[in-house]
Amino acid sequence: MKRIFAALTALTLVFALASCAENGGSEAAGRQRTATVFAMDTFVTVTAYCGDETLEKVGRLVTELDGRLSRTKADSDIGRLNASGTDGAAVSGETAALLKEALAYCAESGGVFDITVAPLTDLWDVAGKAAGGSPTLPSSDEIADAMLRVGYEYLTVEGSEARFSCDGMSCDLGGIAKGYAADKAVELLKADGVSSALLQVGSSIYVLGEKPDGSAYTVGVRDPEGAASEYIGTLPLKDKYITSSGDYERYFELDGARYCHIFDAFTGLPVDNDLRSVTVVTDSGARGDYLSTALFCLGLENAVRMCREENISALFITKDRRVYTVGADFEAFTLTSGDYTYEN
Amino acid sequence: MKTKLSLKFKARDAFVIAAALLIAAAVFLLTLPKANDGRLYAEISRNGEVLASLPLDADAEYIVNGDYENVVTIADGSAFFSSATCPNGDCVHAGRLTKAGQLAVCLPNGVTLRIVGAEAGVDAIAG
Amino acid sequence: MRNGVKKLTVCGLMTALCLILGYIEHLLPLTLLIPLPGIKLGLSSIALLVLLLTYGPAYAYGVTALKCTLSALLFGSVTSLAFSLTGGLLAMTAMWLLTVAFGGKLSVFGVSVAGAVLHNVGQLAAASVFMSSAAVFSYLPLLALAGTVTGLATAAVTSRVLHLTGYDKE
Repeated sequence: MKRIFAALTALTLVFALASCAENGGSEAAGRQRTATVFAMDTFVTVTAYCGDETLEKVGRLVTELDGRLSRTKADSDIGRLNASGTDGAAVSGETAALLKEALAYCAESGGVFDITVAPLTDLWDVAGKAAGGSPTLPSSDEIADAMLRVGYEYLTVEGSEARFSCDGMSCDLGGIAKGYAADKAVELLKADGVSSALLQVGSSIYVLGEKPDGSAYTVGVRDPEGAASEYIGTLPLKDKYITSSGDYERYFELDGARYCHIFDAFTGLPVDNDLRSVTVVTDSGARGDYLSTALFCLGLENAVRMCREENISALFITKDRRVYTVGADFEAFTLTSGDYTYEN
Repeated sequence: MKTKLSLKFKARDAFVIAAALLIAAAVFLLTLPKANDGRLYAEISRNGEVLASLPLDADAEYIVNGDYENVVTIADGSAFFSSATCPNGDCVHAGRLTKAGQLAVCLPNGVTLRIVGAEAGVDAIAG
Repeated sequence: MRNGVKKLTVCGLMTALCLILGYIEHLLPLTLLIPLPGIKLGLSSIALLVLLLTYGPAYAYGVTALKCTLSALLFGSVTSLAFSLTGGLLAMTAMWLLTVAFGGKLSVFGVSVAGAVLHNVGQLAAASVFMSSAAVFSYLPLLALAGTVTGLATAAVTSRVLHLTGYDKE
């Protein structure tokens, strides 16, 4: 009897200790790690199976890019360019290349996407009003005046010098900087031998590889009418960038109308069409950011046509809660929300 | 007393111990968190009311006031009570929580700190 | 009459003993070793179990209630009173019922383990009511394991004490 008692006591002790060790003990090496950096007006999160060193490098990279590309930092390349009037400013080779890429997107979209809408952005100050400022509308004169200072054609980049040919202009790479940062971060992760990672820049995501157990990473497409944690459907992805543009990110409301942070460069007004949001899946982050913005500006019909012509994978959510998808990357999309109708 | 208990361990005592262990195992299985590779959140509640749900991957500090004051710190993918003015400080001794389903409580102030998984099914949300 | 006075005196001493044992645990909390809220040796259960077996349930319940109230007044708060009363009374009930129902078949070890585990269950029940959340019950598996161990340990002491009082001789 004594033996049974001793054995039971020992067993109990072992169980108790094992449970405690499991709770308080250190994690096994090579576990999933996550790092977050606050930069580019948002947060950048990397979840990867890698060393802390790689995560730190990604953090530094994003902070550096932010320091070079931020419009709100006076000493950044873009800050100096915007302050230079028509004198032009010398920028880093990387910034020059990105400006050229951005100008190519502007031209490709026929001006629907325009990196020089900053005067309109400032005039409307949607971000400020969304954050609690008093919602007021600018007068049509003010809008017309700002429009005079908008036009990507008046920005030229030669070598490493960028120059406006019209006074009072400003450029903002915010529209593609996040995607670009994602591209660079993914390059860095790959160079460090990371084969599986989830990189989030704000609400845009680059999916690198598969989960270590061989299953695909699954991304939810945000419900434009719900909280940030709610999604309308799911999509498995591998080695792709996914990003959305919509009228729910930053906006203010006045007299029942909603004014969002994406501008129609032709009217000078916030975009207001049949779309709530556009989500695109691309290989390149910068291109993904450009496409989601441009497609959102176009409205459903024109956007779907553009996707078909140019072989773009996109998902559209309309104001009347219909969901449309185009392209191969959305074939595996599953609608999970009962509030929306899937049209195909 | 009519009935007298034996002072020596009896075979039937093993049944009591087995029952205790069985209850432990059953509750453990019932409360076992679902496997989740998604983001983890630290859910802070007081007296049953959720005060905050903070992602474990973003460093943060959250102060809970009440009868006492608890400071919840989120760092290095873990959440923990970093300091507290409650009498015994058990919540601070509870250590760092890193996995879904883990829990630390401050009974005097009625505060629970719990690690919960992302809503379900997705690793991240685009938009 | 004489017997009554003696019993009352012993109960007073037992209450004091419980408080001292509780204070020792308060000074050297087991939570420092194992970070689990509510985990403790439960030294005072030695005195309470001895009392239950020698003087019967009425005295044991009385001392349990007194001990919980006084220790809450001395070292704790209103909430700790609620926790320890729920735990203490539930534990006492479990030990009493087991003694009555299976007295001939069990030893102090089984009874003590049941008391320790039920003490933890009672505390968690009180905590879940207090916090309006059943989440604390995820502590039960570990606390039940701990209760089994501490229950066996205190039973060993109880067994020795009862032997010294001649409980097993009459």
